Amino acid sequence: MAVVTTSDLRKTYGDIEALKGVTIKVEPGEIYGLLGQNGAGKSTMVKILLGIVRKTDGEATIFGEPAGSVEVRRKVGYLPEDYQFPGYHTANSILDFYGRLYGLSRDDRRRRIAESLDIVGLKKRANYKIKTFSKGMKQRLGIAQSFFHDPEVIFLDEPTDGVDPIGRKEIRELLLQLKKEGRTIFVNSHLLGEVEMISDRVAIMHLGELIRQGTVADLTRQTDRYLIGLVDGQTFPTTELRQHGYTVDDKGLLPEIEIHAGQSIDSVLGMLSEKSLKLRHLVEKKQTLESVFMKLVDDAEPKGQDRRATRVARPIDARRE
Amino acid sequence: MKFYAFLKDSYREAINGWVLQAMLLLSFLLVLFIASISFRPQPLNEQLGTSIGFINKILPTSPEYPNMGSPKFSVENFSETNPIEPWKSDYTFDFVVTSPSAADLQKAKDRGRALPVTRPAAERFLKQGFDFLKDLKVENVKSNNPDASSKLDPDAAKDAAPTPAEARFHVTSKGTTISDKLEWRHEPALLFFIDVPLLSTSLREGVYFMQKWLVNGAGAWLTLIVSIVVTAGFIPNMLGKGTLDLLISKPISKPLVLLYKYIGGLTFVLLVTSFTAFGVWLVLGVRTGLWSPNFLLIVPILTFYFAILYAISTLTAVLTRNMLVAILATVFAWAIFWGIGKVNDGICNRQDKEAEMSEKLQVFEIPKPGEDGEPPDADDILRRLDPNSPLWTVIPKSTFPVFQALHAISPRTYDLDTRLGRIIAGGVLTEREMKQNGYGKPPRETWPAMLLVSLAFIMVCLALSAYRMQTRDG
Repeated sequence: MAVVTTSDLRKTYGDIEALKGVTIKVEPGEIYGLLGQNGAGKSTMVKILLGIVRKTDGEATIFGEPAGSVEVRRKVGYLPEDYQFPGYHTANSILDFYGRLYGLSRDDRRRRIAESLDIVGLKKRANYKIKTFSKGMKQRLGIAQSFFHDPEVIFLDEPTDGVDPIGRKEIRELLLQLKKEGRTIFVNSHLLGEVEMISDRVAIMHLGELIRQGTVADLTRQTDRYLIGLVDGQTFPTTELRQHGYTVDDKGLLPEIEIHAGQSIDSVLGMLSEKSLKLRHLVEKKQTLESVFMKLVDDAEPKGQDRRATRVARPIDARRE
Repeated sequence: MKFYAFLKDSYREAINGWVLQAMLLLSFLLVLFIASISFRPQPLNEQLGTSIGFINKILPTSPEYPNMGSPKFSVENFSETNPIEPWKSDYTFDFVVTSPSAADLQKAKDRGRALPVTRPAAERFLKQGFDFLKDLKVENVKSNNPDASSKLDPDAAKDAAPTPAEARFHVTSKGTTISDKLEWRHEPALLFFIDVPLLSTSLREGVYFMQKWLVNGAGAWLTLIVSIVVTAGFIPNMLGKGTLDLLISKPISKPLVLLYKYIGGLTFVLLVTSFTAFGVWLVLGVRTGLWSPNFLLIVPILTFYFAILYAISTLTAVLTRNMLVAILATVFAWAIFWGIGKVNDGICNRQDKEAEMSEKLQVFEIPKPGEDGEPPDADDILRRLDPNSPLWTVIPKSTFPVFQALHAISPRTYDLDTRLGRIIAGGVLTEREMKQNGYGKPPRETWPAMLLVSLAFIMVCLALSAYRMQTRDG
């Protein structure tokens, strides 16, 4: 059974459509990355899944139960974007408070709090007031509170925001570790590189719509573009291939060839063989997730309009809701 | 477990800003101050000395004093049968009036009832001021002691004429109406050693004063104000961006979060009030022997009173998410409710008086026509009392139904306050003292009316807050 499913999920704030019929499915044990610009609707979707925001229309379930129900929230961990812990708590006391809300026994709370603070490297600061913590420490504590009660699925909204590169690496490793333990992780982020490194599948949202969904490999694969490397000292037959209608870019370290309709890489390899050229590299070229994202967003944008100018964002009043 | 979690969370929040500690310290200081007040049974001769000394000090300041015959008052030949328990004692003493001359004494006597220089006036003065003396008898003692000036205080001696005149009254009493030490007049000493003879009162009255005015008056008012300010931040802080999302992503419903937070705020007041009330009750009991359980009712009643105010604060906080607005709205509503209660009380008092007057006039012995002129007509007299005049000269009678309707639906903070005063009084005062303090008549408001209307108001506020929380995104 899918962990998270949404079907034609919609949310409007007045005249603003924050979600325009989003359908996704998150499978158990995967890291699912939801990408999008600020205001694309990512956070709104997660908040609907957690019952923080009410959906306008459509379906959303977690473990087959209506999203947002109290029972479902027991199985879920959540790290919101721009969250704030009450400053009067220590790391220990805030987790103890949340642990009571999850109904954990005293022994369970004690053990799990110690373990999770150890995992995020805050064991020594367990009894310090949170207001004395740096941004990175707060973020690590935020992650600790999202998994210390042993949830089956964890929603993380911009988990590496404001964290230094070393901290980001630690968080990535932690997420991979949690995945290894069998947890499903749902990551919201606009930091594409981060998501690309850890996600099994990603979805790209733009203006409240899901414009692409798939594995990272699927999304970044660029069919019909190959990098070809020959043995040192041999000259790549750029001119001849162009004469046969291939597009060749030889400005990089390796020549890049684009296969058009009616052409095939086998023909190219055949030509190289005929010329007794010896092949050393043949790589199907991949794109970065960032370039895929930019292209998809540009394609989704109404022609002639600036991408940022038309971005959907909740109006100030709606944000205060 | 969730409730306890929120309770603990609210406690952490309260102690974080040191406000709870400051409140407890203030409470402790109040308890200490009350503990520092001691009461000493004041013998009758001291009581007489205080009253007479006061008259002797005040009277000469009047420009009319020479025309009054410049009298000086004193007590002589005082004796008592039971100095250990003065309320069980018989007393005899001479009440002496001295004037510079016989002519002056005559002037004083000519003032009639104004000065206790004649036997009936002296008797009236003593019966009014010392009404607890049983079988008080005042008799004339024939005397015109030329050496009277030597028994006067130096000021009197200085003013005395060569032949001072004296009026002497022999006073006797058999026992008192006072049954125990608590009703006997005591002289308080503040901060362990500062005697305040002018504040002498019965021990019951003294305890009542401290419980009613120091604790339930100033102390409660301060507690409520500070509590409103402190707790007003609880809900806006919780609803702050980023904090609420974390909280409501946990397996707990939004209305429950709100309810627990509300109860957390009440706990703050419960804690401070309990500490103060039990502290004061304990030290007063130890110091005076008066262990009035009624006083402890201040804890639930004041907490309930605060529950009304905090419901307003909660609703405002949910609607505006602004601590300052919550404080202002609460204080404003508090003033409005107090005003409505006060006006309603004024209206009821007036109606009672009108009814009482009307009833008296109905049973009035109507003189027969021709004997004493026209018989009085009740309506005519009421008209002359002008029943349509505005209450306290500012509130028109036409608005009375509006105020009464508002009172019917608004929480009864004013009534709770006055009822608490009555409860405290009932725990320490005698029936006579109750009447003296305005508690002669039975209370107007019933407990069910006060509690149910107030409780309904609280529930409406909380229900609206919960609905807003539930329907609000985030």
